[in-house]
Amino acid sequence: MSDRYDRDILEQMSLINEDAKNIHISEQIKPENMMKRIEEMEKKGYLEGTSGVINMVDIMDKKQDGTRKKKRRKRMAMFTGAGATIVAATLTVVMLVHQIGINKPASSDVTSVYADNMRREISDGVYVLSGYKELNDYIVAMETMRQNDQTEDMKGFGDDMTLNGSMEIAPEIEYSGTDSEIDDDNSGDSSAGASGENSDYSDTNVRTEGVAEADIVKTDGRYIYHLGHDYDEKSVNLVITSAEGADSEKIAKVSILDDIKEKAVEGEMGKFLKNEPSTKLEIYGAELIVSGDKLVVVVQPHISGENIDEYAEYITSYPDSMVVAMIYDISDKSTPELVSTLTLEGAYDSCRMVNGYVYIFTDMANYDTSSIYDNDGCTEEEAAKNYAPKVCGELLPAEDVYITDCESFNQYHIIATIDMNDVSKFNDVKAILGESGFVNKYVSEGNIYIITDMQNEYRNELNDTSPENGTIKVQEQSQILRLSYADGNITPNGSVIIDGSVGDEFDIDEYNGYLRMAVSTYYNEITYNRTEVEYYDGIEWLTGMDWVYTENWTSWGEGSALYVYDENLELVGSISQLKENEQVYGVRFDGDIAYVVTYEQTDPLFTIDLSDPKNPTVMGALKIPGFSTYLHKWDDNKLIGLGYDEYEYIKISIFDITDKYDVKETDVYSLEEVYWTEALSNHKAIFVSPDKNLIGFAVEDYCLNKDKTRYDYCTVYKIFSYVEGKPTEIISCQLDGLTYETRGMYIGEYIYIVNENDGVIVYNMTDYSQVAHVK
Amino acid sequence: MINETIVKQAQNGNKQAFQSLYQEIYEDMYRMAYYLLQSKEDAEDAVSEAVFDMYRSITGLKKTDAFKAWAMKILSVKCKQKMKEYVQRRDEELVQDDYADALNLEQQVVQRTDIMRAMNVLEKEEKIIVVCSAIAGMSSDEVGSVTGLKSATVRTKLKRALAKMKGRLEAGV
Repeated sequence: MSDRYDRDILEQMSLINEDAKNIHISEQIKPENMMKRIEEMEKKGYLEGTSGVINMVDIMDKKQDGTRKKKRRKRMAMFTGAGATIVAATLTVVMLVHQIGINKPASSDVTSVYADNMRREISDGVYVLSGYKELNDYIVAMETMRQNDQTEDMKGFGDDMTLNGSMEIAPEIEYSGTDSEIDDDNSGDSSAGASGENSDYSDTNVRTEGVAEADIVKTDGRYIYHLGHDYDEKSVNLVITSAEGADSEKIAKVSILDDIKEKAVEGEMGKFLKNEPSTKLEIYGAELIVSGDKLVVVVQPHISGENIDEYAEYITSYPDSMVVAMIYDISDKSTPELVSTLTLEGAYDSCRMVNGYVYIFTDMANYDTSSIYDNDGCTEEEAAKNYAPKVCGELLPAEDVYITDCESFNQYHIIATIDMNDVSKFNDVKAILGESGFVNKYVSEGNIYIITDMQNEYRNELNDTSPENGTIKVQEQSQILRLSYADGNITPNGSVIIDGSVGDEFDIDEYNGYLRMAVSTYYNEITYNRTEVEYYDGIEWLTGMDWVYTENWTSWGEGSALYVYDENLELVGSISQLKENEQVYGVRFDGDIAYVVTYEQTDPLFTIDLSDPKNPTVMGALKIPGFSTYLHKWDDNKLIGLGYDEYEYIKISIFDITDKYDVKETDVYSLEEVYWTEALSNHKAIFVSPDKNLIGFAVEDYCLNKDKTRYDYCTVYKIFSYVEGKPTEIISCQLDGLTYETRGMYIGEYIYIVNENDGVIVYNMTDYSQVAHVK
Repeated sequence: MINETIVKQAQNGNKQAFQSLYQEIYEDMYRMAYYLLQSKEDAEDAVSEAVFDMYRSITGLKKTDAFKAWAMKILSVKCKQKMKEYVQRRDEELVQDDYADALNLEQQVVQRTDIMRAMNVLEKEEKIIVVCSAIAGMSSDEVGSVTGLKSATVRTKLKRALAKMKGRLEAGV
């Protein structure tokens, strides 16, 4: 399928493409040379035998001197500048070097020294260490152990590691069951302390009712708050507009950049900015959230300048890795006053708000765990400042860093909470050190779930009792970590490893104590045999027995599955193969029912009965052309799907869900020539109000431009109404700004369309005519 | 030109056919590896290893229409392995105070453009998504089959990754 992106994206991609065209292609890998090398290797028999992949692993030297466990890695001279013979020769060596079980330290040794003594388990599969030195030692020890040894509970490798068979489920944990009561009131409001006029308005479309989400546009029912780019100043402006229909006006505009520079100077950052005039701050994006007369702008400034490395030491370990939460007092709407600035390390992910507490999520890369060893002259804390997360310039205490049972420790997932009644400091900050890569965060009424894809370390599946040779089927896995968040305090609450990958936060759902998820699965078959190999111990070449394994690219597959876990995170029910070869696209859980869209060629919309968690069953599968990526329940009888039709245009599908055993697509509205909308992948970009019978989102449309001079890609906000069984377009508003910076909402009797560049456009809800345009 | 007939010929052991398939994608493969690994040598190694694997295992390729995505998947695994090595390699250098080696490593990079530098703000997977989409010209569906993600997720991640890079590029760092 061809993809249609924003103009900006396409331009940037062609820029990269042009850039790449200038790269001189190495002679060595040109087809004729490559074929010569293949022929050469064939003659020597290196390409015969298993039809699989030789896994190139270089050599590790595990040195143990009792106190320090350093890791040393020798780089193989692989193929460097090689002619055919060298390549062939090297290949044999490479085939032989992957070593397990040679010179391995006794696992009990490592475990006793590092695992047991150092870490303290505070929740199932979640641990803390006593200090950063210990944390660092632990990581090194774990990595060494994993590469040397196999975890003892991996014995069942001989069985096919099929969907259910290999579930590594965490044993009992205490489920703190503190599902704090949250009012389901999404559109009315706990936050509009203002003089109580319009409680009739739409808030940002959220994943979980009762859990508010930060966005580029917010309203409290009386005012619209939005963040607009200032591309000249490389800043973002906070703009406040009164929502009074035809009389709406802009009442405040605050430069976030100026505020950071001028008013946030008290902190460490200010000190640095003052001392280093060459330092430049720029802002490219931000989100905001409103709570009564407080407003929080969360921004990730880009910092550059001559002495940027020095700056890094002040605030964060890495220059660009800082998130600033700016809290404004907006009791006087015309003059928002910055009352607090809190800094946090990492790359901004998202922000939620529940019961007066704001939760900010960031992810921070963990590169330099070994650097601590080079800092013999300084204290543990000073050394840790080089790599561990800092909060408002201070090192996060090691006791607030959690580690989990995972394969690698490449990323900190940081959660910081702010009590809106005391914004002078963070209420709580916790970091989880774990897998990098794709991270999803799902917030239910009582828990935060952090879901990460795990690295496949299948060699861990082999141990001394394994047969000499055979095959294993290895599933791609994810780790789910649960943390409760009552009253702004983050507490680990169990973890589990699942087979498969959770696509986004809609694919997982907590309901009545059960955690249900629709996942995409992927497996690969690994062929291995145990044989005598040569290996390099860092000093000389030795011989020993080792596993040599190949990934079998011809025997891999994908599919989709559904799991139900109970409060103790134990698997209680599953559908192990929903649809072979099809991955999960769009999911909506609705109480006892799950709607799941998988896709390869057609769009099966599965309806799944979850009323018996132990026995989820497919009630029906509707096949239609195209597929939906976003599903939204309209009312008890209708489900709305947003996705692509068979011609790759954006479509809105209406599903009749009255009879769960026979779900029907009753109508489809295709937006011809429209290929992209942010709403396909960002639920905050769609505006859905069944009460007012409105669905809205911004699209990139190929149409006459605003000056009516030529056809071009334009940003158009479209609003639909469901009339006589069909979605009907009622507003089509062409905007002068980027598609993905546009939101729609209603407040009282009016519809407001907000674009970062084009301001606020107001429509009457009675005849859908434009009544005001506030720039 | 890649078509199913040629893939089938290659599966039957026709070297000419394999070569013509590789002819179609080798530039993309090399560029992808070069941008991910930012070193000529390592890119050569990764592509070579991937091609040997492809040659050995093409007989079993079932989805003959997905030749390019399959090749890129194998290449991306090779690159990921090497990226992982980097971190460890750098660790080692730090541990051993072997800064001379670190300098050598820098010099190995013969050509490094602003865009490549900007890519360093990205996560491993983000890099793969950007490179597959922008350089190899693959659709989000194909990139999805390389990274094991759904195409909608690929598009979101691509957008975010490009925005990150843009920030870096505009700042001229």
